[in-house]
Amino acid sequence: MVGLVALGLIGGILGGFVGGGGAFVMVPGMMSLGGEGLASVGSNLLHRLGRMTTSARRRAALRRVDWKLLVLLAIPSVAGVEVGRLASAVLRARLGPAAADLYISVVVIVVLAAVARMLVRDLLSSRRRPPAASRLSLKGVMQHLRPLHVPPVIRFPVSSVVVSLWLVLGIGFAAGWFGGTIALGGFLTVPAMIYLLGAPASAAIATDLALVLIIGVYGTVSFAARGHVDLRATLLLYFGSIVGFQLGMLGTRLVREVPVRVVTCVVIGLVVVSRLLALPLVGAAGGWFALGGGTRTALHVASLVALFAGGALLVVMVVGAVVRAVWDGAAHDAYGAVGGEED
Amino acid sequence: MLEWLYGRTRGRQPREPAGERLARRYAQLREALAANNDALELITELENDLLLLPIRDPQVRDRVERLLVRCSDLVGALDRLSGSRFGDLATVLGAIRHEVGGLLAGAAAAETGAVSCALTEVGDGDAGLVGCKAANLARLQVSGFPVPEGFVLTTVAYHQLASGSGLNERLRRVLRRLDVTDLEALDQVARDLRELVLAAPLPAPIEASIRAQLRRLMCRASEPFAVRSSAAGEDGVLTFAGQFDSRINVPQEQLVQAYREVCASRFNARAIAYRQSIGVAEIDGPMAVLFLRMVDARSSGVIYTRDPSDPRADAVLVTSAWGAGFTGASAGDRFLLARQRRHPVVTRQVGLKSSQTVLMPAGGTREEAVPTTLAAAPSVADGELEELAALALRLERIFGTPQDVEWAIDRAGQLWVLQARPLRLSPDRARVQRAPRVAPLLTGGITIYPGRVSGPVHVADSARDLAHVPAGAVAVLRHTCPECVKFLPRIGGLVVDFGNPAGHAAALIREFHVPALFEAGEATLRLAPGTMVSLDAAARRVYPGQLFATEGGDRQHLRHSRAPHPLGERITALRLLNPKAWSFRPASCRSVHDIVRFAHEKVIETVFSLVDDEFAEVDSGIKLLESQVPIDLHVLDLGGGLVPEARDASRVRPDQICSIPFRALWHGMSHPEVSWAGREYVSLSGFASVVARAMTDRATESRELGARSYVAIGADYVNLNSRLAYHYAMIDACVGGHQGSNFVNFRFKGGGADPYRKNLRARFIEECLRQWGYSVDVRQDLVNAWLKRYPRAATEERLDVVGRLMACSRQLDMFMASEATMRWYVAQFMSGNYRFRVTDDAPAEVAVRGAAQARRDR
Repeated sequence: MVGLVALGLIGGILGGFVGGGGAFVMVPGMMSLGGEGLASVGSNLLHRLGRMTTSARRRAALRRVDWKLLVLLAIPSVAGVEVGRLASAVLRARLGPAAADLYISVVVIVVLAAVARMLVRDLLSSRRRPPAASRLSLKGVMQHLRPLHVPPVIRFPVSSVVVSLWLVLGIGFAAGWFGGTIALGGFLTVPAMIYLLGAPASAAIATDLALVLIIGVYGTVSFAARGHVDLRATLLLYFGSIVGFQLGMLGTRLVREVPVRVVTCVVIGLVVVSRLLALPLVGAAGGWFALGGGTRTALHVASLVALFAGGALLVVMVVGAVVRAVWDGAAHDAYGAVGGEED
Repeated sequence: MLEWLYGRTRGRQPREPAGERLARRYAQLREALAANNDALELITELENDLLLLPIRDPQVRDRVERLLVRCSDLVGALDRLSGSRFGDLATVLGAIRHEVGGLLAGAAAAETGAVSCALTEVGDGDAGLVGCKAANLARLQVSGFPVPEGFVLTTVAYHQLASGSGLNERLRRVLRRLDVTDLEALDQVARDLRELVLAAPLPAPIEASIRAQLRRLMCRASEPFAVRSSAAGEDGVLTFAGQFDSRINVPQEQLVQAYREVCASRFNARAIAYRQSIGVAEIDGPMAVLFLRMVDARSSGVIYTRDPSDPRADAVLVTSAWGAGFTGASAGDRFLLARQRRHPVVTRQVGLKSSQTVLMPAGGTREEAVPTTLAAAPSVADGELEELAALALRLERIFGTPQDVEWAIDRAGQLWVLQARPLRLSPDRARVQRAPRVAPLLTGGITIYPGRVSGPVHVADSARDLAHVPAGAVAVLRHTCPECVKFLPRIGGLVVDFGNPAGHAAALIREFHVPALFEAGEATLRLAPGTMVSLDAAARRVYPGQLFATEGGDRQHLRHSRAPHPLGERITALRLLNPKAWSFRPASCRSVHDIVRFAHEKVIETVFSLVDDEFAEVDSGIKLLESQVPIDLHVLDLGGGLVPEARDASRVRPDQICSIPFRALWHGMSHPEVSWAGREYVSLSGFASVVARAMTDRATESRELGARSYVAIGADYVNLNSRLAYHYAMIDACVGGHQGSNFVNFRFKGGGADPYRKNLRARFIEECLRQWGYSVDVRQDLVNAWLKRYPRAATEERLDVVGRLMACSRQLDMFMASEATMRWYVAQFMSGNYRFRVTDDAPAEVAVRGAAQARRDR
């Protein structure tokens, strides 16, 4: 129970810090705390839905939705959610809960590792130095994709965009699939709409909000109908994340951007490590191989330590910054801007 | 939180119609922006003024006062806009105003410095008043060295002369636009400035004090003087060697004219270029002038307390010739003496001295033939040599560094010291050196200035990169650039791929004694940045590793650290840079510039949050612009911006807007060739960078992603604020009234990609706008561009360009993979290729796209 509240706190702070990125730790965190994979995903879909609908400002933004774009994104996204959920569910029915957990863990590890890598690359780049050359496997051939005009091409009047239907469907499906598999996906849609579709930012934001809402509602219903939502766990997460979110927002004002990025990167990296350490446990639970009791305890503890070490770092940094800011109040007045230089 | 609640309850009070309220707010915004622009302009001018003028100058005072007024206008506007949320700001401004007032009053009190003083009265701390040369001589005189009697007209006198002749104002105007690399223009400017000084009336106190000093010295009416420059800073850390003129053997009645001439020599072209290029402010080197009793020299010469061609050798070098004013230019005698006691002569070269400078009875000097019996004889006796060496070494001990001493022996055999200054030693430059036994990385090229130096390679693509060249580095450039002169004092050596040996840059390099190689082939490719290399400019070779001495001592003296200006600290210094930092608040403001910056940021922020709130509640007054351009602009008419029939509609078409600047801007934004849709291509690595950023980027800018775009219009005014994608753009322009009130301000910040790409896009915008005559300032991804007082048609054309640029620069950060790519995009924009179709000369990253385009075209 304490673990879930703490997890909510970490996720909340991270969310306050870096927006959508906060949800990254939630699903793997819940699984490390003993939750079943599908239930973790379901609970998190509900958790995110709860958080989202409380923001009044965001509701107002819905006026700018590009409905045609939304519909064309929503249909494949619902399919994406179903495909994601079904993959886990089928594995669970055929091979047992451990198989589904393994599948979800692997997806989490792959996605978060890719994210962490991008963050590191981004951190290492600077104004003077270009980021390291992309090693994406499709490099060269696909460096400059041109999928934008593969027919059929559609016009979106609100966004005044003309773009290939396939691209829109692809984005929608990807968003849905990530949602249904690991309760994530919003991180991709806004940049994709702005940079791939060329939609104006306001329309992209509004449409994305509506899309996330649809994915959230549909996903929650779909998971809940099959008993994959743990209300008690969701509530505990929620308590933690409300406090954490406020702390995180405060932190953005007090901690400079680069440390925020570094810590985010470390936290995500540690979540990957935590999940990797938990993989043998999942295997043992599935009965594919045996693990001694001692090894099992050690792995379990190591996995939890990795998970919460990152979180502790985050909390220490934010709380430290708040304390220091209050402490330094007088010093600031006397000596001028301490953190005033641009990084 | 309380502030927020307060704001909310205020919002519930009975109120005027939303449209009027918004119009009033926009009027306040406009007022605030005008105050901000004026304040920034005044700050820039003051930055110049404080370099050129003493604080007490009425012009400085006037500008400071105007700045304080505009700043308080800005603070007042913010106060009204925000409902007094930043009340402390006025308090902080008050405190700064008080301090500035104190400084100005203090400066006025310091005005009373003496116009002249006798050499014997010069104290230790007076170098700023009398110049280093006079201060050094005074110190020697006190220590008992034989120095001719004399007096100094101080820098105070110079300031009186300069301000009386309107010179300062003229200087400020000229120097602001001066390009020191344009030598012809520089010569002309220098000539004008000198004539100005020569024609200036001499203030009465100066003439009076010359007479008083002459009386005090009790000299005969026929006794001549030497009049020499003693600029503050001269012979100190900076040498200004030979840059100023001196007059010798000046009769007393011509002293005033000689004084003017020496002062005027401050504006020799070379002296101006030197000061500008090493960053000495005009105010830092005012001219004091030294008047010394003329020594009728039998022999004269120079002593170096170390041999410059071999500083490690234990020797004192004495050069001498018959007559006065020997400078080493003609053949003379040269003696190397041991530094030990009794100073035995080590080498002795007696030259054939066929002529000598003698003093004319009526003033001035004349070259005269040396009697044949004396021409081949040593101009100093051995006993005198020993005396000279002993004296010079005592002098070296007093000053603590090797010295360059000018001396003379008069007809009575009495020895005089005329000048002493630190000796600049160049390590091992003159000797013939053996080539190292290492395979060179590079051979060939043209030697611009010989010398051997080791240092880390710094490859610079542009002048901008040079700004970060570390001291002592071997700079490697593709071409020379006008700006490179600023960095010459700092670098160890220079290798240029191309470069014109007869060009200005080469001339300046010689002036600065930088070992340099031009036409070096592909040095920018062959020399890896950061690696240690050794340049032998004379042998035209670059070796790997450190084989020679590194630079740092020789030209070190050129690096000039300026103490913070007390008035500058309170006015022009900017410390509040990061609006996201917690310290970005009124109490942290230390200067007027800080306050202006803070107030401007908060004005924009406040206006947006207010307008957003208004909009969420009432729609009236704001109209949606209907067009093909996919930025949903909300239009607010401040009066006269719309045709009558559109005034009551809830939506307007672009052709119903009659605001002059808006129409010009819109013409560019809706240009048929520019595309507001997505790009035809996508860069995968660029997109990955955007996604990575998006995941960790909170809405840290003052406006959140997806906030609305607003445009306020008047008959001759437009203010557009937009959050287009991940960036923020603001245009504030006025066109139509008289030419003097036309202006365009453009501000652009942000992007979705990484900092490198964002900076490149900012520079893309900079380059494009510069070519259209905008003044541009880029800090990281923030672009600030402005244009003022262009005629109406020209301003409209340039607004049109901004409109096109806004469309074209969207998403470009994704593609900005390198400097070359950026330049390609600039070239395309300038040639009207707004869709950036691939050309033959496109760089590699763009050419990949070209292949895809070719496939499609097939």
